[in-house]
Amino acid sequence: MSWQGYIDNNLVGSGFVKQAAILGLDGSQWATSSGFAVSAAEAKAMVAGFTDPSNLRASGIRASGEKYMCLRTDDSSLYGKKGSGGICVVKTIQAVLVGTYDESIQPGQCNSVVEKLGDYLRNSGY
Amino acid sequence: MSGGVYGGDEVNALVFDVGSFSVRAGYAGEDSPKADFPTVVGVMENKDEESMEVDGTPSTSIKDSAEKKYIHDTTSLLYPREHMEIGHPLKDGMIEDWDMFESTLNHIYKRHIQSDSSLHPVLMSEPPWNVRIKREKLTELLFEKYNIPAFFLSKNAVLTAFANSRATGLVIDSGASHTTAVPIHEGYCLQHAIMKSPLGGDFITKQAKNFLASQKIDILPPTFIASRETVKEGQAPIFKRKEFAKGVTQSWQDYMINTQIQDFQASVLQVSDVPYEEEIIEQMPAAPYEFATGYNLEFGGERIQVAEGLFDPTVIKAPGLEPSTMLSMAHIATSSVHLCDVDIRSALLSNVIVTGGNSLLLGFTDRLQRDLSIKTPQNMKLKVIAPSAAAERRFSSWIGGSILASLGTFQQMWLSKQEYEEMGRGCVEKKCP
Repeated sequence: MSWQGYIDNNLVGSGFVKQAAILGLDGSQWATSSGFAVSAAEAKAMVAGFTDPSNLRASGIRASGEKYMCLRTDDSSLYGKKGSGGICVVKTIQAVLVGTYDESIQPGQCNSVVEKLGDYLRNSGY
Repeated sequence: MSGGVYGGDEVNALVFDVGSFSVRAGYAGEDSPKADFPTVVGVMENKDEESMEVDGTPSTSIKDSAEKKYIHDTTSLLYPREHMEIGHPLKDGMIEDWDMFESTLNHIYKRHIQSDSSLHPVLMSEPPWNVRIKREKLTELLFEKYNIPAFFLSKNAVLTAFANSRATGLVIDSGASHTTAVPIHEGYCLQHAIMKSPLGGDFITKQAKNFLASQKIDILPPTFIASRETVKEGQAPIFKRKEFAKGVTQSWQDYMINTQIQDFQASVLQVSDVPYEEEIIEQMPAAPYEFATGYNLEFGGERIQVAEGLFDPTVIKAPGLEPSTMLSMAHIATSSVHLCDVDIRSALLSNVIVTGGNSLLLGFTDRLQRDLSIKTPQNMKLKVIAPSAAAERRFSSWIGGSILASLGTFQQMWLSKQEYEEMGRGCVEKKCP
């Protein structure tokens, strides 16, 4: 399956993710949902946030020009919130998955979907 | 998802809020908990089994609970029992002794709820710094042992904010074991900006104990006294000590003495609304207090001195405590705000929520308001919110849980037994932020 397939079927296709992106650890874009573009600088900030979250905590997680207040970070996932929507970022071995949700989606559902795909990719070596 | 199963009003969810001083439990949707009893547990070794071997091991070691008998609830703890040690299931707000905790849950279901655990979803509070391994263990325990249909774990600070009808705010929770400042943003707690200080109710109890010891005042709980006579103020008490049958433990005596000091704390101590100065103390109205021994005295400036350490740790005189390492109440609040994103700082400062049993000390909120207003930048609005009713402040996180669990929109957020069986215990990390 192409990377775009994961976005269309597994993330946005689940109905619990509004917009999604799959990025390389170097900040390159592998696939995104339409109208959602994570710039290389934004991606680099996310990747750096897995090891040193101090920057994200001070100035938030940025994706596609939107700023999300950083809620929780650990070495494999970042959670952010903006108004009633939010963002979930999961790191796998070679990639970073980004999923956002709006007020119509439960944050827990979005997180479950993104984390599940993350677990799957990690187990398959990506 | 679980939405279809638990829709509507007929949820019958239970809310458990386990604090380091007391446990609150009851049905969601009610305005106060059904049960409120001390968290501490009386532990007795079961005499039938080889007691010699058991005696040698520390009471904290994990053993099959059949070997031990646990005593719960206010009145049962007051009764002097031979070899009953007082234990605490929590450490640093997190569950440490699972046997004791399980026994506490059994007690709640048996004595207070009096219903089968498999009929009620459970919403539980947890400290904001709870660790993954303990959350998973708790989830496993409730699903496997108690067979509950659905579960949710929520941070107690978030629930407190909900109880005060706020989704964003800085929650200052001054409880028994510590005081914390937790920033909440849109119903999520910002974990990196939590500040903790060991200055809480237990600390004040210790200070009051030192103070009373320095005044050579005997603290004896009523249980220890056989008879007493009325004496004039300041005169040596005339009383007869009750002789107990052998074998009441030191930890039980300490517990009883502490409850006595907590009473003294609640009726006498006060926080001064301005920093402590010798001259002001003289003008303080005195508060009379009669000890269980019959000894009675009026306390003037001392009542302020003991509590001042909360707001000015430099005055703390205690062996083994370095005053400079302690943070005052206002200090933890401002430090926590400074660790947050610039954009939400003003929202936090205009929603400072004060809660916890220790904040019920007379003058606590006024002083906090004063100290904070000095440290707040001019362009930001400061608002300190503190429910005036004592019950609301003691039970705030329980009330928040009660509100949350009875909301129609919350019903789809439960972690159902089916989901647990599908995804395993790790699912609590994903479903419960």
